[in-house]
Amino acid sequence: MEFINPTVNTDLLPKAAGVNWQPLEQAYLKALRIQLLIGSGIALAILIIVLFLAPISNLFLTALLAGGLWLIISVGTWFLQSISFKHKAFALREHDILFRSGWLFRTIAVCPFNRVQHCAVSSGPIDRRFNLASLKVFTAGSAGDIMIPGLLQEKAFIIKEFLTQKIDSDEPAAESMD
Amino acid sequence: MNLQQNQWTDPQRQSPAALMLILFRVIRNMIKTFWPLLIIYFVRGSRSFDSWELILILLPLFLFVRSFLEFLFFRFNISDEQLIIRTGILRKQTVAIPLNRIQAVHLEQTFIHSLLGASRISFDSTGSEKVEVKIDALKTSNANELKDFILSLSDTTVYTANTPFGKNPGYTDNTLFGEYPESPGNDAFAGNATGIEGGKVAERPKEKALITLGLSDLLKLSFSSNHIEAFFIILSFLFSILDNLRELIKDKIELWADEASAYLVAGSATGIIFLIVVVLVVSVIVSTGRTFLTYFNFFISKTATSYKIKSGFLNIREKLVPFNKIQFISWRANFVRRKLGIYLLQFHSVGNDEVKDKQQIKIPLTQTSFIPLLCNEYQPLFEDGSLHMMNAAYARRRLLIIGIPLTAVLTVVGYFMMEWKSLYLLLILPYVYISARTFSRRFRLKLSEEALFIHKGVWGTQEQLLRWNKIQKISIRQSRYQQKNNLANLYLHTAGGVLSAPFLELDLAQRIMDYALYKIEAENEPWI
Repeated sequence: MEFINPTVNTDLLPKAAGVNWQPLEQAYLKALRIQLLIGSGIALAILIIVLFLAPISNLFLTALLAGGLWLIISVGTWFLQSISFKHKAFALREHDILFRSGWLFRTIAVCPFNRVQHCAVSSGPIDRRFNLASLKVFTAGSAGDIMIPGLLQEKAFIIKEFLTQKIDSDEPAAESMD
Repeated sequence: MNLQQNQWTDPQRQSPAALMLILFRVIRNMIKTFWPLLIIYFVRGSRSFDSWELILILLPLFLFVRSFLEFLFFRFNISDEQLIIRTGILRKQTVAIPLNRIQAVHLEQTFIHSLLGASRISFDSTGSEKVEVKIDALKTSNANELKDFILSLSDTTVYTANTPFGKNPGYTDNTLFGEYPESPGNDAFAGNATGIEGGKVAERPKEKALITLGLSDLLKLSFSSNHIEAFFIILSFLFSILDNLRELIKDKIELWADEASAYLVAGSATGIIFLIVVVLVVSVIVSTGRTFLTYFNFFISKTATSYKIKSGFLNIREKLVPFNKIQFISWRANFVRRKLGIYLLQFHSVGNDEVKDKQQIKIPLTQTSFIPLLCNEYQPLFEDGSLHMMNAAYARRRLLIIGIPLTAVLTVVGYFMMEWKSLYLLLILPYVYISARTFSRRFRLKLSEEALFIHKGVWGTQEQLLRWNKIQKISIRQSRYQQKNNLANLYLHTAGGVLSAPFLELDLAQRIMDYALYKIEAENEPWI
């Protein structure tokens, strides 16, 4: 066996990559698109104001270039959001929480419960409109937090409660010192 | 000890010495920030009262008044088994740390502190608190009393940093270990050599000196340090002076520049050689100065629970590193030092972020045999274990993603500035490829039951040692290319920083992830 370990057969270890992933709520994609529309709208308004106020010699060409760039970025983000949404998923196991994200750069992150310091649920105005919330799991690690967006608010609080119980039962590091 | 009967129950301010420190800091910061303006002011030799004087008077006055108010509003006390610190003039902030969370108490004494008979006291606590908790100036005897009091109420086993600040350690030989001499004492802290075990004040065991640096070690470190870095520091320093002075004494600067360039043109080759020699000598002097200021009287000792590292010439820095707070250990060497076997070792403790990292004391090791000595408490170095390399595609991808776009942009831009000579910039391509190839060929990942070891570097070398139980989060990242070719980058997040292993076979990365999770979850060994 390549991975030397005299006491543990690593082939028999549970595979983190092979878990049953739970997708995010479909409403989250709608929330993302509304956010994008608002952001793009604001960007377009600023662009128009700048084009009218700034002393530009060739206004038509500049407006065409800036408008084209705005359109490419907005449409590109729209499609990237749709593709990456399909790849975003989370999984809860007996001892850890996993989050998968990204299309161009695919990432799988795992955080064991006995390393969780605390967790929080948050939701912005658009999220609340769709009854959505984000769950953030904090560890002591550098860039070691996990954020799972696009959960139904009730589900986010249930998972938070589950994690809190797990943290208590798994004796977090701070308590293990006592 | 009864909390109701102690001198720390009532909220109190820092020692009046803190005011002197504040004044010193205001003056120092003013000089540091506005020294070019000060030079201009004096060079101009203005005699009439103008806006310059007003700025020079009002700004430090404002800063001092603000700092004075901060001093007045800073109060600390111990109540309900918590250390409570209240700060803020308009926006109040209260930090409360349960005493049983306090891991270590550090006493520090800068040069100014020692003149004022005061010490800075700071606290390390468990958990993910990012707030740095410290009391800037307390009378040294009071600081000791507070430290002892806090530790007597703490449940943790902690030995405090009873520092010999005033005196030098007195060890000037190269290294002392095997036979451990007693750590040198200090008059200022005499009689406080206590540690706390299980909440009871206990006699502190004698510290074991591990490494000290002598003159020859300091010289070795000085000459092998990065002179290129020192050269650029000098260069940026000179540029900042010129930049600041240019506007106001433009004529004089131009005159000096003309004279200097005339001299160089006249001397031609001799002038250039002279300039190079001067820069080289200045760089070596600066490097030597920096090394001596940082590592003068360097001393590392070991108690039952922690390493104590002390060094510095004017500002004596002392760091207490409890063994259990070490998240991973790394040691590195530049090209010259690698050849000479000189390394800088670093304990990555809880809460070391990138900014703080620069302020961390790096331990200079003049012999490679010191490395296992400092790793043993954390994790003995291992010879056995499985060895893995990264995929050779790494070099090609670096060339494609970084080398070619970078070279293309630079060459095109360079063409407008120096025409066909910009083709020399194409040499960046082989440099990027050779560097990446060397990096991938030298990269080694060694895995054992208890820990993993990473060896990497291009011209220099960097080694990292990490115990599985110190991992907080694990992630695997794949670009589109890596997804198609079953490759992955592995990131191991600890409370002391992130370790990465790029371009591993996906299967290996996943197996490492699964094994790390097994070690963390099944064995449930504490990480701190």
